[in-house]
Amino acid sequence: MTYERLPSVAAPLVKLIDALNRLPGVGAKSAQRLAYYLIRTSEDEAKGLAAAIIAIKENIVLCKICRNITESNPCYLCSLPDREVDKICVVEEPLDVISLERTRSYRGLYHVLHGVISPATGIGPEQLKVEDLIERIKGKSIVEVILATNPSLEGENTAMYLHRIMSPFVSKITRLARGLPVGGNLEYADEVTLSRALEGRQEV
Amino acid sequence: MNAFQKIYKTQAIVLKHIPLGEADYLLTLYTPDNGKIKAVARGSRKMKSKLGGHVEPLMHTSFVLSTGRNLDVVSQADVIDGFRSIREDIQSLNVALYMMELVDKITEENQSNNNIYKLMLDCMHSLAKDPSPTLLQYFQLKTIEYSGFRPELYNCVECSNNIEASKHRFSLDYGGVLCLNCKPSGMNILPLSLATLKVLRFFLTHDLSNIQKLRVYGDNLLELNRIIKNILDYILDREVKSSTFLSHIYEHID
Repeated sequence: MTYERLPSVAAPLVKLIDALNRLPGVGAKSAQRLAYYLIRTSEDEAKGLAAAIIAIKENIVLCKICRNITESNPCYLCSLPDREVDKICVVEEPLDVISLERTRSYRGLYHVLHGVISPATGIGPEQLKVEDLIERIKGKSIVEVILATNPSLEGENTAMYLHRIMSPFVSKITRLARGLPVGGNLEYADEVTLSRALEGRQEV
Repeated sequence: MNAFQKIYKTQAIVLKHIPLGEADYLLTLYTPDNGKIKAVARGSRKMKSKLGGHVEPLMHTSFVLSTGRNLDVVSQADVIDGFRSIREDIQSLNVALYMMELVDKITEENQSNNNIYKLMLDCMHSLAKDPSPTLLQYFQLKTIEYSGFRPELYNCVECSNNIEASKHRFSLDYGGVLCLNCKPSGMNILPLSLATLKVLRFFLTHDLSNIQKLRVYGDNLLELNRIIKNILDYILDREVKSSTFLSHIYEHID
């Protein structure tokens, strides 16, 4: 829906609705509702929102080490003194770092690719932070690289590619285990997952 | 369920999936009876979805679908073959990704084409076991043929006379060989050696099991790839994007 041909709606409001409409998951109707809600909010609240948006554009950078989104450079995780700097866990997106940190069972560092190799949409290694990763491990004494891309077709493709191009530089490259999720159901498991779960079985 | 809803069973190869809404995937399936169709797999992006691994691309799956108002909805899915050995080999995987993108680009929705379905399935099975070095080129040319663009490889497309050995070129506009006597009216003329012409004829007249022994090397392979790529570009009028990464793999990873 475009408001340009509706002179009855105030121009600044049209601008806001159009801007909100561009956000993911926000349709024309939600954009309208949000805009009219913002009109009724206090000036402080509205300015706070505007300032928060400006702050992420001005103060957020990519960490020079792990390429994660950060306000300090190097980022919080990369500057912690007690992390194991000779372990790198490679993930697709910044959100994956949060998920892995929540487990509290990994003490190494990360590397964020910002995407995944997807040949059919034209996304190759050049569009990702792959070169930064190679630079990061070249000539350093990295003990282990963990490939933590998703167990999807693209994630596997990316992991296999990274394994091939990194193997001259690192002796130990591992992949997250693939198998059954907690609370899952054997009846609904697909054969690839099940056969991998069987292979990766452990003594109890 | 209302009166307009219909439940049907079909096998399909999952060509691709794109995220839809919060937790769904919109699947592109290739089926034997209905050709390419789209279907929604509700909740399949969740870790514990019962559809989950059954609706990944490159799965040969048995589906139960129900017709919706706009899109069909997946109600059950069961993997028949997950082609695990393709998934675990970077070259095979990227050949398969190319095949799936090509089929997606060259076919229209709801146009049944059993030949393409069978070809794709056979080539995937071959890729999973012991692929012939020319499997990809065979697949490309057969896909061109089954899409209705079978190139004429015996008689001149202009004068209909039999082509004499080594006196031929290839016309993209006419989709076939051209003898040296006929003056081309279009600009899209490619040189075509006798060796490559014979490979193309072999592909069109033989099935997959015969391709196994065929070897094409060096300049002949380059020419074969060039002519097939030119025919595909001419028909599709757009790029099959997977070919970029596939060439990258062939060049940089042994």
